[in-house]
Amino acid sequence: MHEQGDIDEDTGSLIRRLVFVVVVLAIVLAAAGTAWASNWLIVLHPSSNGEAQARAAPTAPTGVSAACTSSSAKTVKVSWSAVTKATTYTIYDATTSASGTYTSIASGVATTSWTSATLSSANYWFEVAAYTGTNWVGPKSAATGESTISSSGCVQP
Amino acid sequence: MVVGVLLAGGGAFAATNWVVGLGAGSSGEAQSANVANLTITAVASPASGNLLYPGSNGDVVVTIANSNPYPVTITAVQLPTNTTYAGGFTTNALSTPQTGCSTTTSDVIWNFSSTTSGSSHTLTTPLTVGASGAANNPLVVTLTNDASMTTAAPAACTNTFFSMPSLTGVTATGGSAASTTTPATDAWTS
Repeated sequence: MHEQGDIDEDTGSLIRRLVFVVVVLAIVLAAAGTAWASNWLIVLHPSSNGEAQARAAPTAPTGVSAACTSSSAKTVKVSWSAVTKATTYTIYDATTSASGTYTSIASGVATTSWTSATLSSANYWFEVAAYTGTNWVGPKSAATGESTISSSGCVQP
Repeated sequence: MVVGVLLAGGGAFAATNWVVGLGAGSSGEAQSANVANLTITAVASPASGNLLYPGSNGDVVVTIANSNPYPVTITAVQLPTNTTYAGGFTTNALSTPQTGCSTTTSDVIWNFSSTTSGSSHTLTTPLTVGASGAANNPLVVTLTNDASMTTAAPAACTNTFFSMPSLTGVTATGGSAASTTTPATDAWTS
């Protein structure tokens, strides 16, 4: 036969056991919940992309000039101002007039000046175009003043 | 006292973890049934200071929309291959194709993309898009220098707007993180 004290002791023991189970369960569930939060699968919508933009082609070089390297040499140095984002330059010349037909005589020039090889006797005008990369080319510059090559050398009329 | 502890624990779960049930082993299916898509779209152009030209990198602007009922934090993106090119368009509406600057000729790719589809690239800073209907959703992000144009890009691609190739995936988690303020700037650098 159970006495009142025995009943109280049994109840207390039961309560302690229940508390222990609850605490353990809470710990387990908390850990599981944290794991679930980090394992969510986020599916990307099809055709997820973004927008970029390209700049314009390089502009025409400015400040283009031609100068005899010396009065006795048959070579000319062409100079110009750098163009934003240009990687190389191409030099053209004409031999009839400043508004004549121009022919490419040097390409892939990475600096802002270029010196010709020995030129044949003739009158020369030069223009320069800027390139960005292999295929982006800007308009040609204005023509330089005339450079005259003769048997005795070079003069700027 | 016992009942109070159980309810308090259950309440904390509902606020942060969006669970269907407490049964162990059911998380995979239960989570998939409640997941909605992230949508990343192209709706704005980069600032003029960092545009593409042959041999350069440029910015990409994306908008990320989250239709989940909880914030989503993105930590990495997965990219298509480096032979998957962006399509060129005449305006930032990305509606009229640019002749001669297409997905087969533009030479514009995601920076650091490789020959392997789905290569993963970690964001410098995790991006958290707010829950559906909350602030900072959608989230506009400028990805600095994350587009690349080769030196052989055709002349037809000057003054062109690009729709970048679709990402193949993202690495993200759902939870209760504070959302990133829109607009934001971020990038992957390797």
